[in-house]
Amino acid sequence: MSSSSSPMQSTGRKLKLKSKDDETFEVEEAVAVKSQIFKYMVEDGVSNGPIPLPNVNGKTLARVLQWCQKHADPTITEDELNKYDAGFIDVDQAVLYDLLMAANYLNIEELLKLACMRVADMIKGKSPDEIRRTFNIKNDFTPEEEEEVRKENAWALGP
Amino acid sequence: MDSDSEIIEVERKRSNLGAELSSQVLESLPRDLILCILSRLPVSSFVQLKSVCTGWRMLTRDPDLVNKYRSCMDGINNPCLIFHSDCTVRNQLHFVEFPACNHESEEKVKRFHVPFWEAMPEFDVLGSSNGLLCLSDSLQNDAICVYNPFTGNYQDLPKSTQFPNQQVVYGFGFHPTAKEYKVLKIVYYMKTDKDYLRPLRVYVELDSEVQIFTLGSSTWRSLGKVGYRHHLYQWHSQVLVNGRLHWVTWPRRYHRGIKIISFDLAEEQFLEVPSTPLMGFNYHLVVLGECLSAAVYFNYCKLEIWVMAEYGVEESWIKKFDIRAHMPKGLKEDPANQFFKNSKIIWKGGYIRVLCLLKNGDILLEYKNRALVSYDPKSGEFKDVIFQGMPKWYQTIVHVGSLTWIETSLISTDA
Repeated sequence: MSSSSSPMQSTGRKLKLKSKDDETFEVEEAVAVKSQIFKYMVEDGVSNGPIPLPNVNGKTLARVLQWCQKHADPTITEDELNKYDAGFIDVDQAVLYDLLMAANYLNIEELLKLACMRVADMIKGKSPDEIRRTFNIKNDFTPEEEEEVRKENAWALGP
Repeated sequence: MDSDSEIIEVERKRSNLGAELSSQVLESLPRDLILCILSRLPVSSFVQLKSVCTGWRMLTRDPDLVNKYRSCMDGINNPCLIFHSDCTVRNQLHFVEFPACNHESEEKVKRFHVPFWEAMPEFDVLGSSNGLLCLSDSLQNDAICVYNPFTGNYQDLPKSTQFPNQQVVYGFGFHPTAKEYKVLKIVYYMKTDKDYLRPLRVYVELDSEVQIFTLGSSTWRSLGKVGYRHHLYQWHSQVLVNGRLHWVTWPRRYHRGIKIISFDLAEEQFLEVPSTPLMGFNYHLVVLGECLSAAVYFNYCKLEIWVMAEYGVEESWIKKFDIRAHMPKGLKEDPANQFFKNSKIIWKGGYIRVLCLLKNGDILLEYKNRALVSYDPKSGEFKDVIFQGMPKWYQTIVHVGSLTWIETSLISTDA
């Protein structure tokens, strides 16, 4: 499941991270390398002072690190992990947005997939009107465009 | 009471803030992220985005996004299944998006509103490739169109040269590198009437002419004769592997077995595909997991599937699946109705057809145009695949949904 497949021996080495609002976090290397960014830093040996992360705020970083911790745990089963993920991603849209951006910026593939899947699930199976309500989007079509849209929507009929 | 209304006020402010953020959610995300999200949508949901607001509408029209969506889909979701049925006065196309898991799912079959149904009430589906369908009019010779069922957009092809007593084998496919869709007509015909006067025992060789049309161009082009004396056999679906279309040939007198002939859509050349391990077998071609495969029929409705693991390498033909005879639940007696008796889909159909490989490794099979079954090669188990609203009988077309827009070009109206 994890790309860092070597046995999880705690080297005791920790990485220091600093969020954009100046919160600092200490995290074990084995957990941090879930992010490809940190993985390369560790491999290249550039992990001395606290790593500044100007694109991620403290609250989001805390959440992300919590997720990484859970996913770096060798004792956890796949079922437990799936349950954890389902609960983890069940958040309101503002938090989801932050998680998406953070996972993208830090290049954490699994978390990115999870967050994208969540947004996709919020869109799947909904009519355009329902999608608008879910994401609080304003219908800004002109009456002519609205007519065009209405015609296009007849592409598929029920059974 | 006051603290309650305060709490409500705070909640309202928070959710408004959330609303402000979320109204820009999709549009303000980096493109990669947008693609990541949208590529996880089944195509019928992707289509709905067009109608949400002007920003999202523009997103779905972005050709870069549409192209990438198509290639992502292959890796994530199962293909769409399109059902062509003639259970009613006019032909219909239904579809269902095969769920990733759980066969007895709630997926409902929906019907496409076919925009050219008046002009073409009866049609044959020649094939599906990279999001587009190629249809030919059953009633009118030489009326072919290319259609994207998910956008409703279609293009009639120009007329092509007709030949006396012609039999046509069609090809339709998208070449991934050349990035072009092409329609192929392999016409077999008898040059002169005096050939009819030959004694019946003498094998009459037919003349052939290959015509090809590139979508986006204005006329058909002639490529001359086929170059093989074996007559190609038209199958229900296109077998496109490595940018090449494939057909088996009719058996020829005095020749053992059938051959596999391919046509490279970019080079526009025919080439025989080595198939000695299949010599003597009766089989049809199918694409399984992107490999050229042969579904070999045996007595008592047994089936073997051979796969050419490495394209073009004769030694790589291996017998991969052994499927025993099976009678699906849905097959009782034949429907006793007029449409069934006259159905050309039933007439052209057979007992069992191998459709595709599903994401979970199961093989999807169609029995007698009336039942879908998935076969798990690991356990040897058959499972009926039932969706609500399936037509009574049908021909299944495996389709990768996309929002590709067919650019209408200047079509020459000359015959």
